Amino acid sequence: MKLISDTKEGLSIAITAVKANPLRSILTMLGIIIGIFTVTLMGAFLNGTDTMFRKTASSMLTDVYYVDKWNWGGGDWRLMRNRPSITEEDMQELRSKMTTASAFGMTIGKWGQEAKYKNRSVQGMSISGVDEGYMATQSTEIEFGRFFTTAEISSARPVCIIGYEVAQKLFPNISPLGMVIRVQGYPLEVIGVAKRVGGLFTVFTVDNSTVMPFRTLQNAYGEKHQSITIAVRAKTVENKLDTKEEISFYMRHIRHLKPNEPLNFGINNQDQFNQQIDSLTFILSVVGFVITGLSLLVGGIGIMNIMYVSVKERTREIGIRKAVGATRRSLIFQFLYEASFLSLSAGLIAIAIAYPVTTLINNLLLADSELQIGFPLYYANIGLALSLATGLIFGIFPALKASRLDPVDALRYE
Amino acid sequence: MGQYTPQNSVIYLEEIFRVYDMGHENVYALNGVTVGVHRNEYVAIMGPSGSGKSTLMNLIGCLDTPSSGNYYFNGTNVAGLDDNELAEIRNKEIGFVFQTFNLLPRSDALHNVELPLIYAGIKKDERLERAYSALESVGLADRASHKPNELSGGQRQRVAIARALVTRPSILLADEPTGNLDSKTGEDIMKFFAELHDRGNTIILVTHEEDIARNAHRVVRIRDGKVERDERTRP
Repeated sequence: MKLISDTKEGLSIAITAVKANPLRSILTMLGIIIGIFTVTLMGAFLNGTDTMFRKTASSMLTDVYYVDKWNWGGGDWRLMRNRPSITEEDMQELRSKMTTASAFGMTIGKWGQEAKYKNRSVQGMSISGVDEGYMATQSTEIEFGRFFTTAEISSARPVCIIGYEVAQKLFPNISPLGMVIRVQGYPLEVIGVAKRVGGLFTVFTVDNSTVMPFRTLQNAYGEKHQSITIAVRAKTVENKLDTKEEISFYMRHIRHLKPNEPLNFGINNQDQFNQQIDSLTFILSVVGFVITGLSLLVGGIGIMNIMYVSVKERTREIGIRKAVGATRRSLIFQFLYEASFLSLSAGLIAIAIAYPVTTLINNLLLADSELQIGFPLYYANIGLALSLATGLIFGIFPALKASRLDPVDALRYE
Repeated sequence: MGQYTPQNSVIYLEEIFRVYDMGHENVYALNGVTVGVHRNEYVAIMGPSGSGKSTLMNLIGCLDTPSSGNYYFNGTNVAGLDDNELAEIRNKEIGFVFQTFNLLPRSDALHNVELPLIYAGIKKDERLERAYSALESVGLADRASHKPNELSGGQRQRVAIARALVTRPSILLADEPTGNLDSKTGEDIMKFFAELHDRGNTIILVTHEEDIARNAHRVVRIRDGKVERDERTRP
């Protein structure tokens, strides 16, 4: 009962105090507004980038392992460079021995290639040469046209499937099917267009890529001994770690590795990307929250400052309240209400600004971009909770000061 | 005055000392004061400035605590109580009337009178009813929604009196209640105090004016932190 009447009195005092000094209140709130605005936008941005990263990673299947010369998760670059190449024979060996795999595919690739059609061109495209296992070991879907026939693959026909972005750039108005493009000067007939993956880094996905039969690529670009990537799809997702173990076992066997020798090849999986995304997101979050923390600190100090002024100005009022029976607790509550009222209002204002701003950014700045920043409702809650916490943390010292004033001195204060 | 005991008095101060530590010397604002007040007495505490009468008033009002001695309020020794317990006594047992009125400037008359009831945790309906009837009893029912700066000095002091009475305290403690009023208004206020006394209230009046003190039925004179004289001026 007492708490309720204290609360109502505290809130009405807070509102009266804010009304009495509107400009000062707004200026005080500014720091918090900026802080909460930053934190919500930062959150929205992180949310958006995270979605993009994960979209990129999702173009790989979770149950596929990529046996590669390189560990995709990073590692000592100089050591990995000297590893032996992964060869077609390795794949034949794995295919004949493994029991936990449902499909195998081999690919070779090159980055930074150029494709041309008449006067249009695409730069920085990746190309891959693939075999029959491609469709079973990738998430790529064919949107228009078809995949290569076995004959096309075995006879190294100059045909290709292009990704969404390549198609957009080379054939903005007409169907690419049946057209002949030149990749690094080499003519290839487009027989299919892959379905768009999306995501932030299309350079890693089929979107910005041209896919052709394995030997077509080898013949055209003449690198017979380039290390290949073997994609091994597990029979079941649940037991995919068994598949990984099996790959490791047979590859060790192929490579004649002793039990205590480390692997001299990489067994890569989508999980590694997710881990990398997690750590990247984490770093971004830490940076974001440090910035936010600083602006909230500044805002909080502003609140504390103004609350000290408020306590000073209302010394006599505090004396009066004490004389008529306000306890220390009541006064602490009173000033905490005022501080939290200020900071919470600031938080509300910040969110009221941040929400339309994210929409604006999405519609104007990011209209043509894959990146869209999200504004989940719980960010609003976090923002409000943070602003309230700031008010309480920085309001407590002035509130304690008010509650400790000596009533005799306070009543005498002019 | 031997008839005052902690048991039969509303307030009973026993060998009260109040010492201020002024660095290298101690100042004795109160130097062994013993005084009691019965229910429904009307007492004036008089003394020149520096006599210790303000200190005494602050102690009686539980705004301050003595350095040593016992203070019985309705038979309970309050000398050793903590902040919260003192706040409760101020809230429920003491009604203050100050020279400078001490109303909250941004609140209207009704809210000012309501204030002690808020801290007493009384429900809103009852609070408003009691605050309103307290304003009525000081003849200001029609000024309930006025802010202090919209009221005359006499009206402000009556709002303050209504605030002091609203919790039905054991004592009404008035510190120079007419000090900021013209003499005509001051007389009105003193008449009102007499009325309150007739209605059964216990009044302690702190003043340095003989004219004002004459309204009381007993005068306690303080000098140099001690009771100099304690005399009944009316039967």
